[in-house]
Amino acid sequence: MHIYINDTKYEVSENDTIIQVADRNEIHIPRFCYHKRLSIVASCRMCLVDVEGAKYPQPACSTLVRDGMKVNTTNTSASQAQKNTMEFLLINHPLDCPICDQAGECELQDVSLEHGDYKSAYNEIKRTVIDKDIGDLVSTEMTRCIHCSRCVRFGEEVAGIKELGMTGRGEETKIETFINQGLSSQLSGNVIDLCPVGALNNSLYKYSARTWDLKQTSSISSNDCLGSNIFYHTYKDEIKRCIPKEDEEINLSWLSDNDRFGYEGIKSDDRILHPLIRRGDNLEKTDFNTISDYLIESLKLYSKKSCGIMSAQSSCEEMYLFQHLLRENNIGKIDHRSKECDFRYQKNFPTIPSFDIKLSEIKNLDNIIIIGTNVSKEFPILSIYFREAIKNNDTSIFSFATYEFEENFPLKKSHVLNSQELADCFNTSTTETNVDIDKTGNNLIILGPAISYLSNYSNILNNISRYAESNNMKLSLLGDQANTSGAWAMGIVPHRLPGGVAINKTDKSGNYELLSDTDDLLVIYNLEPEYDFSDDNKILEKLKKSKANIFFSSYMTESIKKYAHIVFPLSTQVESSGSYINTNKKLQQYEKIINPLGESKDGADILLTICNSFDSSLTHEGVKKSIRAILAKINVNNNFVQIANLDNVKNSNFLEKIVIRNPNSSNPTLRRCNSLLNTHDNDDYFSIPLDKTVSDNDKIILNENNNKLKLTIKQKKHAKPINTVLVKIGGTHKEKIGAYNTEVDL
Amino acid sequence: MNISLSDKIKKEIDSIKSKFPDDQNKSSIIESLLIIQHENNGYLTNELIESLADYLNVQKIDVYEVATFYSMFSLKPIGKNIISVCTNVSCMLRNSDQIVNYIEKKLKVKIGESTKDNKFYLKDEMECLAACNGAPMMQVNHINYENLTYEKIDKILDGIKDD
Repeated sequence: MHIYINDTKYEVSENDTIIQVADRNEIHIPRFCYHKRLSIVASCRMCLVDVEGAKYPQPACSTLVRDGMKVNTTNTSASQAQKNTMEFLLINHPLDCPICDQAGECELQDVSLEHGDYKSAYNEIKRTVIDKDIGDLVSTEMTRCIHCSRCVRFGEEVAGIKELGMTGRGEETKIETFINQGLSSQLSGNVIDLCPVGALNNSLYKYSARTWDLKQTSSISSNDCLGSNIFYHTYKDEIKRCIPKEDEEINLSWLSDNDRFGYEGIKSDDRILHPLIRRGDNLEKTDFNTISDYLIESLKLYSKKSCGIMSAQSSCEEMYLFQHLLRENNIGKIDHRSKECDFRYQKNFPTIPSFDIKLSEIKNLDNIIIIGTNVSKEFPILSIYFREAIKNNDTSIFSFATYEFEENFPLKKSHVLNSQELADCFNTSTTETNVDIDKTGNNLIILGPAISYLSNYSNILNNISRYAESNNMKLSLLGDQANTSGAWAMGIVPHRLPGGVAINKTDKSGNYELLSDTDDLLVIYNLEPEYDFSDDNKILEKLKKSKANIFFSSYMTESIKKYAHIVFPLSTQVESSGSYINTNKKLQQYEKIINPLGESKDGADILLTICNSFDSSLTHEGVKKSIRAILAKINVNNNFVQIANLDNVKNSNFLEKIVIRNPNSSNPTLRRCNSLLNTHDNDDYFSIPLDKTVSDNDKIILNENNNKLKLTIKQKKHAKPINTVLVKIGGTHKEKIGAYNTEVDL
Repeated sequence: MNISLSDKIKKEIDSIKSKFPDDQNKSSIIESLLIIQHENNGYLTNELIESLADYLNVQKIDVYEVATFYSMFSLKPIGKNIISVCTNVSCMLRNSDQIVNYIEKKLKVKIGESTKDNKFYLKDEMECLAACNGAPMMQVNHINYENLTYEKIDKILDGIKDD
């Protein structure tokens, strides 16, 4: 089949529309309402083209091709139609381009210049529309709206929650939310990109630069393990905004709000700008040489009872160098799992945990079982794929979690269970499992990061792996941080070297505990003791007693101020270069976007300088090469973790505390992004079992291991598993949380 | 704030729902809104819109879109008796504009407003009511009155009693 556009012949397939053929062959057709990833409404009439044999110009976006069809996009009939449409669109559009953020990248401006007329027959008054307050992330200038309805369709079709709508009729038509509600979708920022005019704007970018002055640099998201591809736009060494970089394998044309607005925190007041050393009660400014010497001395002095804990948000380069430095000094206790408390599984864990299938294959699955993750909050991009699967293949999605939440796609069934029930539920050795699905289909089980916080994580992993294997299902493991897969591959675990090579002499995986036997030296890399550890009481206790506390951190916290002996000022991800391994085992490089604030430095540079004092052969290039070589050698077939002789850890008669993972404050920079925190539900909330009568703002006291935790109740209306207290952490919370998963008394 | 719908309304909405496929609750919005509006003295509130959205399991904005689009829904309190004067082409040629003027003067309201005693509401944007043979015409409480004269209007409107 073929058609002619402007007298040139093009091959087409049956279901193509004219605009698809034109786009494929780079023939320009003006458009506003059409977007390749949204449904077709043909409401703006901008894409009218001349079709031979048709009486009137036809909309290219909704007209299907016919064999031998002759289309003209530039003749008098087409261009007159485009000119007329343009004149109508401009009737009510203000001429405020000089103060509009969209100017310079505005589709209306471009199309008007190319296809419009220089004068208008309209002499009446233009309409004005009052702006809406729809949250801290998206600002509005509704007079500029041309009613293309892309933002409405995006909410309905992609984000899965229709928040913006078109109200009123005729001249009164407006885009708004229901009585000025704020946008709550974690994908809400995408309407900014979709808006062809300057009606929906980026609040953080508003009035801060002109588009033609911006420098564009590509990068990788540091906020979740999917590794979305992004562009940062900078002006005079300052990040002005962040937009998605088209990537068919990961984020398509979209970006989660965390990725889009997650750079706001780097300008926080508590950034550490200088190397610091303890003098009495205070941390004082010093230079890198002094603290580097201090670190080297301490490493030599206290190699036995020491431990290095690193954030899995660090780059592969930092990880490689970190474990190299510590292992060269005989410190074997290296870990990234600061939020976990059950490590019995570690010997059997895959060398590199992954999603196991390509994201684009999700649409072919028959059943998906999601365990312990609120996908539309924690992995918004993934939820887009799930919606597509439901649409494409009528996929059934089941959810098992420790608390009730809403998803932006329909769940076939959702179960709310406590940790013991969760493990039992997939136990193949006892009775038939509680999962009622067709086992012959193409099925996938997804294990969310919050499951790893539970004290019977190993039991759950073991049971689910056995269940998956016996039913021929695939198992996906989603990482807690951007580079969790990288951390496993780069040997940021006590029992394995980079590449998953097992270390025999430290084989204590049966009774391994993160902080035991570390009384002398603690090296904490890009983690905040108050927020990043599964037990804040325990880590603070350790810090108090330990002889040397060495921090690598971008931000100052109370505990660092109180306990650190030296602090290396770390640059944030946007101020450094490096690489992440995403959940699909893809190694993605990112470059430095802006210069580091103050004297803060790229962690890889700091670590390399220190390493070079032992081993001068190491170079940045060499490290990169090793990382690629390590990754090339790793061969993992599946994610099954089967452990023999595993005891149950819980007695389900006790009251159990479960901490809910909050993706909006999952790393130090996100905790300081105020616009994001204000917009997305970041409330600390605590709720207790249904049989206890409490009301909001009641204070409860939890007893756990001689520690008393005082929490203020903020009950949410949701189902709760029996015998649990749920605690959600948000932002830089003031109250102590205690252990993430433990037994408590009320 | 969420007002729950009365059982009677719920029952009526259920019967509307049964006319459409299970996954297409949006189709029931218009008819349901009409029922709710009728029970609520002729107008809708944001709370009622929210309750309907919850009951039909659709987004609030979906219901709000419908409620703001159609002129048969009112989002603010209106007078008890609704007067709709047709001003489309047939009636206009038979002097419907004067009819509207006369009613405006008689009731001391502008079109689109309700009288102070809340007895009458003179409806705005009334399109053809399909009674061109009897132009000029108006509808009072959904009953057609045709071939209007000033005397006829007086008789009709004065005949409506307070209750």
